[in-house]
Amino acid sequence: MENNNILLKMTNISKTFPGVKALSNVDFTVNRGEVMGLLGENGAGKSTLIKIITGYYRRDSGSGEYLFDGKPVNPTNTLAAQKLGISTIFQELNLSPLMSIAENIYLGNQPLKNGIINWKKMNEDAKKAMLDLGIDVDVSKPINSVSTAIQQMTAIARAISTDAKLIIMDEATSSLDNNEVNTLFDVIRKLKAKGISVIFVTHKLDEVYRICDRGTILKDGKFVVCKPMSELPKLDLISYMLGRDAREIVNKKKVYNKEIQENETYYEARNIRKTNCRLNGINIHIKKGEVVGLAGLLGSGRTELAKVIFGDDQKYIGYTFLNGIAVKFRSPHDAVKNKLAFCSEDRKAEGIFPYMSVEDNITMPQVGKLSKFGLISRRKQKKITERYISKLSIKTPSSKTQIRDLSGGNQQKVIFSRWLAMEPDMIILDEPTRGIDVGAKGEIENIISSIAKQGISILYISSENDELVRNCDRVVVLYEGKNVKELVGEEISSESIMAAIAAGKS
Amino acid sequence: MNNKLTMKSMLGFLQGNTAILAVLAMMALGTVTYGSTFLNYGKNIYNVIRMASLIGIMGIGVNLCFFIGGRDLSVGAVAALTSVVTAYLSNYNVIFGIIGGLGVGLVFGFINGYVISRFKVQPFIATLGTQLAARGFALLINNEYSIPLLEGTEFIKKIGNESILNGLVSIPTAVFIILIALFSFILKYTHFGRSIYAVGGNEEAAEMMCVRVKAIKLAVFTISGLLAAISGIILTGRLNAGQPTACEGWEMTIMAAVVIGGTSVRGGSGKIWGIFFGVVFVQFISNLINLNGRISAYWQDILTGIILLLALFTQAYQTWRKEKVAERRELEKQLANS
Ligand SMILES: Nc1ncnc2c1ncn2[C@@H]1O[C@H](COP(=O)(O)OP(=O)(O)OP(=O)(O)O)[C@@H](O)[C@H]1O
Ligand SMILES: [Mg+2]
Repeated sequence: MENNNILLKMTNISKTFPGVKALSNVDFTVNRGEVMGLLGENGAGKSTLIKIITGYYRRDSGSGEYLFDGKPVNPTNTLAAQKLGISTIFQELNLSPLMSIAENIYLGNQPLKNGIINWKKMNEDAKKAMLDLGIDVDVSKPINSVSTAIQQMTAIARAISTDAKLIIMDEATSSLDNNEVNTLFDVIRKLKAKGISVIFVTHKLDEVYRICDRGTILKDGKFVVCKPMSELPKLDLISYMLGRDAREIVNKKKVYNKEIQENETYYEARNIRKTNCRLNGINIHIKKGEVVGLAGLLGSGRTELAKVIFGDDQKYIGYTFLNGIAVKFRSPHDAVKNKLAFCSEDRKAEGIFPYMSVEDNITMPQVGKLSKFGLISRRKQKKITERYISKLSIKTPSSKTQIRDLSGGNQQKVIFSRWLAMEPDMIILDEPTRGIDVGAKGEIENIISSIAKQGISILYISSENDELVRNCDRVVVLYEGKNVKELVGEEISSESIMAAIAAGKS
Repeated sequence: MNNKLTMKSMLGFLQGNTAILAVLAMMALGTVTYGSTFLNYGKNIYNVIRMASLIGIMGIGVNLCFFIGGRDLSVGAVAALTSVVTAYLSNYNVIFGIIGGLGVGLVFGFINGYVISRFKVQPFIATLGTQLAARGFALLINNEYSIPLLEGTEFIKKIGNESILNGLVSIPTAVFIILIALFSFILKYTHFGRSIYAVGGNEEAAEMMCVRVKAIKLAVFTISGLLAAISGIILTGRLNAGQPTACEGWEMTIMAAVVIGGTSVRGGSGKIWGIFFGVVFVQFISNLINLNGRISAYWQDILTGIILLLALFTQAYQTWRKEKVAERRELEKQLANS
């Protein structure tokens, strides 16, 4: 007798891509009305498994069994999966860029009247669906004109608008702030109460404990373990994910070096204001070899400030100094020439070249330097690439693989490598660990501290306070476009940062 | 006050629809230069629009291909082959002629769609292949000679030459306008229509959004073939013969008309009625040159080329302006808030 409580049962699933075995003999089960966490390092095969469930990829022929609702199924495209009752938010947001928010929610399921699309009802429904998610927005706006968070919410609204039995969320919270995550969790709880199952993929482990009932862990395309979250303490979880003892990572602490505060100032910005009031007189300086964290809520001006520093935004008033000399960057190019680098939070806009190799993506800005008589030195290119592939442990079949075939987190590492390869004097990191697994996070943090030791200045923007605590020599807290507090060395803790933000509010 | 408002929105509308503006400009130019010779509806404008409609019917198909981010270079040749097949079969029986003609369009359109969606061949290349094949067949069937329409084919002749509403609207123009209305409706109010835009906007995303990308592509190219066949049948009536060398080079004129009509070369957006003004505009250029009689006919290509570049330029400019306006609105909103 089959257990009637099981909604999805996959046994012995394998998937081979040219050069990679992304999944080998994976078992995966989801019960009705359960939130199942699907966990693992970057490149562990989470997204691949999801794409097999949704019919976007086909599993290797002859491998395993796929039961949904007690019946063997084999969806050959996403539409077939949707008809079975599977609705998905893909990691690389599946939205149609030129269409409105409303259409993106209902494309393929538009409300009809006399057989034709009822635009009025569609817009009203969409408005309501977004309000339910706590977003008040003009739903007739094209999706490419709104923020990533709203796009994310649109994808979520789309996923829950269909009559699904299983909703899959592949890193759906990566660009949401705390409030938005809370709203989403409320929604998930409601879905659960209705008996709908959710597969939840994330690299933010605290979220896993807050929302998931059970967790399935994959490593290198293999099934590791599936346990209720209550029997899976954090240390075990991370150890399972990394396949090694995780204590060093969890217990890592920043070693403060007081002498850094005596270094000369590398960069300084004085009284930066913007006419749109997003920045209201910010003062900030960064010493040589110092890691300065920028904390604050979404919209507190962190990214705006980064853009000003990097010359991506000239519409500001105020003074900026490099090594004590007044400068004004007229473009990002100008900033790069002065050895600044900016690793932005938005991977797509940042310009990965999806159809080019990992190698080309890393060395792109340097082809000039690597060339002789107009010919690129492939050997040098390869050397640099291989150095970063091993330094950041980028998981890729080879340096010639197209970057779009890498897992999301590994793409992020490639972008990070590109900036490091330029050997900058100062690097601005805007949410550098978004979508990156705990292990790689540790590696990136190690790299940050090692390049800081070489005298490179770092401006570190993050919404995750514990990250700032682990990495920064000094944290500047922004609130509504002003710096409201500065914490140095031992003063930095999650609590002190929170307190500073809260104090700014009052 | 009210007047001013409508004036303003009118101007804004025209600004956003370069093709209409261009057509009006051409008409003004024609009127100034040739006066009543040009303005004579029955003797001149009627003909210009009829010719434009003939091109425009296949233009609709090409335009749909643009929406999904594709191109169809085969329409002209398919229309020519259709006309040969239609003339040949009509001389036995008109119904055979029409069915055979539509069959040609269906088969070639389907081949285009199948090759493009199934084997992921670039539309440009695939339709270039069918173009050569269709043209080859057309020339082969009667050893390069045209096939005249004989007795008993009055119906086809009528489609090409007669008019409705007391000679106000030619049948080709009526067909063109009905088709535009039909496709405007489909594009706006059906799942199929919206899916076309989704495929053009971002194919991978569309696939993840449960759009059947391959089926949509197949359908669009098949429709394009069918529309080319309709054009071909009407053309047979117009020429009183099946003409294997007809419509040579039309695909380029049509693509120019599509872009001038305001369809983005990137796909994923646009309105189908733009093609109407696009083709009418292109035909006005050739009309003005013909009326003069001394200007070299090559000027038509040169002018169309220049206008095409202008259209591309305005497209880029409008996108840029839209962003600017959005930016300013955002700023004003923030200022109002603070
Ligand atoms: N289309 C593809 N072609 C070739 N290899 C692929 C393709 N898609 C994924 N892979 C490979 O399969 C492996 C698993 O990738 P997958 O995207 O499933 O990882 P993931 O667990 O989702 O990681 P992340 O947390 O970074 O999103 C990776 O090694 C990746 O390089
Ligand atoms: Mg993934």
